[in-house]
Amino acid sequence: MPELAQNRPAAGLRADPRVLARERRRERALAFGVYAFLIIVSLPLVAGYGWLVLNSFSTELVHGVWPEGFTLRHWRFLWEPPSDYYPDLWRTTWNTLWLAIGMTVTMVAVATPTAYALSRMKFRGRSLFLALTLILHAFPGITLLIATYYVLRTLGLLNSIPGVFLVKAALMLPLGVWVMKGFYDAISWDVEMSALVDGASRIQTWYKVMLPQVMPGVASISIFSFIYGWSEYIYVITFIQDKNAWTLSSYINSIVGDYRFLDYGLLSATALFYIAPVLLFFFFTQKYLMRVTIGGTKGGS
Amino acid sequence: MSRRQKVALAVLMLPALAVVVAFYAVPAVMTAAMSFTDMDFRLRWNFVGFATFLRMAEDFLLPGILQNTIVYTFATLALFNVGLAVLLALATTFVPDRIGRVFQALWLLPRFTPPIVYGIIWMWILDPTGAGLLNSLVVAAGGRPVNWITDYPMAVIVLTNGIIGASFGMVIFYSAIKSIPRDYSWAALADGATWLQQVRYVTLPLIRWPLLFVTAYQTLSLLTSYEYILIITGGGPYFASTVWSLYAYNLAFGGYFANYEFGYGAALSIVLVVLGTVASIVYWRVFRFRDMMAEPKIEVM
Amino acid sequence: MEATKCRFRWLALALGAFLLVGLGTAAAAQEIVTLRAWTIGPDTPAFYRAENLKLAAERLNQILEAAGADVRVQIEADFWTESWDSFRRRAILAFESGDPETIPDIINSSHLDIPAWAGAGWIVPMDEYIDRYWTWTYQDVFPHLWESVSFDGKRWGVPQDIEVRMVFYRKDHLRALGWSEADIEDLPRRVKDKEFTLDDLMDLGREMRDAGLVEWAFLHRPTAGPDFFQYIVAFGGQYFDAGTGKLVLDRDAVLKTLNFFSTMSQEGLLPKGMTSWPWPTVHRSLVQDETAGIQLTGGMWNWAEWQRDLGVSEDELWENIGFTLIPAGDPEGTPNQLGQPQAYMVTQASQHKDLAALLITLASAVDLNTNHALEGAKLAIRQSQTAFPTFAADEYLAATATLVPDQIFLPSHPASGFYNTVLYDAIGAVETGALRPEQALQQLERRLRAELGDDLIVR
Repeated sequence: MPELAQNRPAAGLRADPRVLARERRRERALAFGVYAFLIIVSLPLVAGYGWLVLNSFSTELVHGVWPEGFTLRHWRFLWEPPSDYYPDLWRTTWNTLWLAIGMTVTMVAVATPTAYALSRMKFRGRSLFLALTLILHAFPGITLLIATYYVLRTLGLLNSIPGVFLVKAALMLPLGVWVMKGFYDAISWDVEMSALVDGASRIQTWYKVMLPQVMPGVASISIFSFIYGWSEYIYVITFIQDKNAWTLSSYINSIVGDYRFLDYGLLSATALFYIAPVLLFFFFTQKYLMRVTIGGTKGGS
Repeated sequence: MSRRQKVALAVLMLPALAVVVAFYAVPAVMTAAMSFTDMDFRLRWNFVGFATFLRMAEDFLLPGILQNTIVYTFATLALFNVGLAVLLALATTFVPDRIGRVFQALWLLPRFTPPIVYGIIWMWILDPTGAGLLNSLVVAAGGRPVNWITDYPMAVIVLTNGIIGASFGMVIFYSAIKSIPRDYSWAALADGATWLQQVRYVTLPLIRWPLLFVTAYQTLSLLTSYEYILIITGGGPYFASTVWSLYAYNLAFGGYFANYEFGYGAALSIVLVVLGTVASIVYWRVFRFRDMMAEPKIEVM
Repeated sequence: MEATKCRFRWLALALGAFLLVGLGTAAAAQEIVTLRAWTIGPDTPAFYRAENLKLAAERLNQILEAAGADVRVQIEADFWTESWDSFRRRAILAFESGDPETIPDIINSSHLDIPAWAGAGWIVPMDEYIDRYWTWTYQDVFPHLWESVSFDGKRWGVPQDIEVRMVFYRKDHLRALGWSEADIEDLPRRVKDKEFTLDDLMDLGREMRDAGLVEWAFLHRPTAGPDFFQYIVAFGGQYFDAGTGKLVLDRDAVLKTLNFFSTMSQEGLLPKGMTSWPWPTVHRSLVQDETAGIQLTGGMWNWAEWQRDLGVSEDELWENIGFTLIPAGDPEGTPNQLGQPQAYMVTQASQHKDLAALLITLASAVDLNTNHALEGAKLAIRQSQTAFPTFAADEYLAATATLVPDQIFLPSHPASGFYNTVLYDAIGAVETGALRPEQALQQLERRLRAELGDDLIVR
């Protein structure tokens, strides 16, 4: 957009009141349209999650829709397990947290330096590596299950939470690397150049100069990894045999059973218990997450 | 590249290489090898040459499944993962931040929700009797309950996956739009551009890279996704919503009584990887991703 | 006389246990041997599968104490409520790890797992133990249950329970159609004597619908399950050849089965999209909303689940719900019900196989197994249970037990599960109208041949 001027819209540029009124009407119509769009497309989500909340607090949903009678009985699982064969809820919650944190740390530790190299250093195989990460993403995780099982067994990581988060982090790595690379790409060369000219090594430069600048990127991949770690299910249930190492998603799956009979109240309450911390976490960290850049915008068109 | 540079590069890349090789590349290669075996639940490496691939040629279900896969992937991508994602990003940047955040949180909610719970919410919405949300509306309007899953299987899987998929693009596009310098849009306004024109001629071109990245990345994600389809439609009725990765999953682990066709399942996933690779190469060329990876300047000087 | 014999048995048992546990144990302080067991519902009321092993361990410890032994047994029994496929995946990956720390000593699963697990060498034959404890426990186990745990000439497990899969129907709809109480009570007999066939059942469904009593005359389970094989037998077919040990595709009977489901769906008696209904909706429609008339693939344990999960009283169930064998489909067909026995097995990796087998034997005591039968609405495994006071007092168990003689099983073949899946797929296909019955049969045959090759007999 070379011809775009850098000046602000000057007041009184279009002083004609009729034009202004038309503008305002148009703006109002546009605002109305945008809100209407947001509300309408979000309705199924509001209905669905509203249903979860209603279910968890009502004795019955008449015709599956209208709540009747307030109760806290579905929340009993907080102090007494649904049966003797469930692991302790707080231990399970702790495992879930450990998995999410382990996943976050692994992702940051691995993606941050790699993305720097891919963004700022010229070496053979650079674009091949980036392309490869994309292609690996084409491997359906589930079909790797048996092979991954062998790897974990060889490394002695079966039945352990670190085994699960390492595998999961590997699967998410392409995303982390691409996102971090976007943040590095957006940093001006001058900053790095001056550090290098001062005689710092690449690693020092990365660590001391670049890293502080990409903290928003670190924050956003942390949040993504935390959420993915928190909600992981299939690897937990496959690689961990011991119920003491269960996470909340295994807990909920056990409540669902094979769907024949569902205690919708208990299910909704446990699901909300599971979702709530992440939702809170998200509200506090949202401003970091919403800054993810891929490839940057500096190139313009 | 100097020796010091090489050491720096190795230090920066090593963690990622180790993780990718151990937990992704090795399992991927093993899975490729597995596709030449007739491995079953005993996990024996009994090589049978191209038998699994010959079986694929004889499998009369595959043409329909391939067609479903293509329709599912591209319909979900166009309508939701990119289409709705852009609209949501535009809408949430248009409205005040506080309101925008609420809608973003709402749209990210399905990602935090355990798949099984998300599936159960949809089972309630789509219930074939009057007890479901949609059918209670149909009945209230004087209609007869519709069996949504049987009558519109593809629409159901596109919708249910799309609602989850849209948030990924939303996050990335939102960040990209937010990082467009204010001056650009003001300039456009000064030129008398409407909001829509501004979107068309300023915003979209400026978020070109994120758009292309999300398109490519999510194509591959969708190609390999099956989890929500498994829970919501089970791939039915009679394979009408079975996609390639679900079929591979069902052969390995699915069915009333797992089939444990690990060899054939692996062969099917190899085909999926080939499809994904072809798609990646096409995107790489067509979208000229190489341009995005602007050559690092430091080595140039 | 009986009492002395009994006491002698316990003494022998105590001594045996003492020797078993004591062997190789330093005679020092009290030693604790830990055994681990994996059991599965997945229906929650079946938790006695784990609980009974714990109670058995308590009993064993009492005996050990009485005998002055310095050994105690500790059992870590796990009960899985998630799903069959996650349980099986967990089991095979544990077995495959070869790690005795991971592999349990005792595993409980369906008798259908025996061919695969025995073939892989993961579980051990139990004939030796069954013979050893024959007189004081196993002699009165219903003989046909031993067939279900046999494979390759050996018995690989001990039957844990057995159920009946049958047809449930709403009696109140029959009354509304003018049936007298006597007619209603006589229905199961007429089914058994082939006086009431699947054709009559279909007519009954039509009457219910035409009278506006039901939205859907028929429902069936919305997931694959062994129940559908019952219809092949009802239409005079077979699915297994005991002589060769091969699976059988009886084209004529399978086609009749497919036609049966296809007709119901075409006439609007059964939802076209039956296979995509959620499970809870199936139960609710029959028991709570009364919008359905007949459940073609019921399981006797539903009775317990309806009371516990839908809050329907047992009196209400007796008033409104009746049950019967699957009626014969044609003159050569057999009215039947299918049972899927569960079994306890001892793993190859167990370090304490003898002790595990002893614990299983103690858990098979009449009173303990009856706890399970009552809680989970399952049938007895031993003849003496039918005379056990709490069992005999249960009207429902007594009524369903009369169906036992007409019981069939799925064959002990590793590909039973696959057959199951493809049969269910074919039924779903004809119901939705995706395929005509002939086409569905043809596709079913192709899929079976691709999987089984020469291991399939087509008739």
